[in-house]
Amino acid sequence: MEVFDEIQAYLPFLIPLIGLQVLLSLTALIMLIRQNQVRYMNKLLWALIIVLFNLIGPILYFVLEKRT
Amino acid sequence: MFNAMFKKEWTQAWKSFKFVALLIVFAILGIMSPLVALLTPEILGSVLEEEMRGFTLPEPTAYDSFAQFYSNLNQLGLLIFIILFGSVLTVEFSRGTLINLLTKGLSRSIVIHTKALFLLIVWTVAYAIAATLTYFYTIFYWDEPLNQLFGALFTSWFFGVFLISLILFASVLFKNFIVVLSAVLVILFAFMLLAIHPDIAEWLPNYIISHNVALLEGSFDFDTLYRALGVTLVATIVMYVLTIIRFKKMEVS
Repeated sequence: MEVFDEIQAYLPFLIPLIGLQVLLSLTALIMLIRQNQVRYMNKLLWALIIVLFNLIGPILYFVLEKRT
Repeated sequence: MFNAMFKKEWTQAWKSFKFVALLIVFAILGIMSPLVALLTPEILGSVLEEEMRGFTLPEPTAYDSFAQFYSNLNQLGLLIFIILFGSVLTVEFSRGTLINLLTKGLSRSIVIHTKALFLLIVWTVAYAIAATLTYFYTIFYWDEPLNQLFGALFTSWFFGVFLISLILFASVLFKNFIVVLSAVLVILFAFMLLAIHPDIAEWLPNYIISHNVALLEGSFDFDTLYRALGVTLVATIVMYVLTIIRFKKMEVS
């Protein structure tokens, strides 16, 4: 119960943080899927990078693959 | 001409999702700063349980929250901003997208003004979001007085403006984004080395972002920053003028 209480105390931080994080990764993933061809590596590798490295993964994707 | 150019810039930033991505990242940094400040004593306490026996860690304060904010913003925030948007000018050179517009009579100074205004707006909006979030979380969880708040927030924003001017100047000098990025990092590193000497430090642009928390605590007077602020302002304007002069003379291929 104690752990639960502690997590609850941080919910005002965690909810927006997780929401924003998901929004960023999800947008990157959707854009990746809708893209016909990727410039570097392949789609599966990009998907893994986006999901595994939160913040940096999607940013790298936008910088390297969405240059137009 | 200016309107069309400016609109093109926004459409690109919007379509590539880069602008929204930057806002999301800055919002995350803004929320994370007070959270990390709140959690640090607990994390330290549990990691160093043995060593800490008999000691009590001081409770985190509003200043710790802003210390996190500045260390996030002045390093990670600026870096992500440069990586996402530092290529707005060099990308035109590498793709040759300007030639057509220039032969059609687009003024060269307008190109630079558009890019600069675009970067300035992007930076200001992103910074404002991060600062506002940290501010409201901080005043909600803590009640220490935040002295010279406007000054302390202004300096970091202003340093970003200086960097925008530096990026544009490096862009017309080197034309290649990787070189521009490296040049900016080398210059920032040189500032850090030079700042070791206390007499030189007071004159450097990075001096203005070195005392943000002390400004808030009230232990450092904003007036002390005037020299460095003046240098930063002059450097920003001089680099901007040089950018335009250089761009007018350079061959765009």
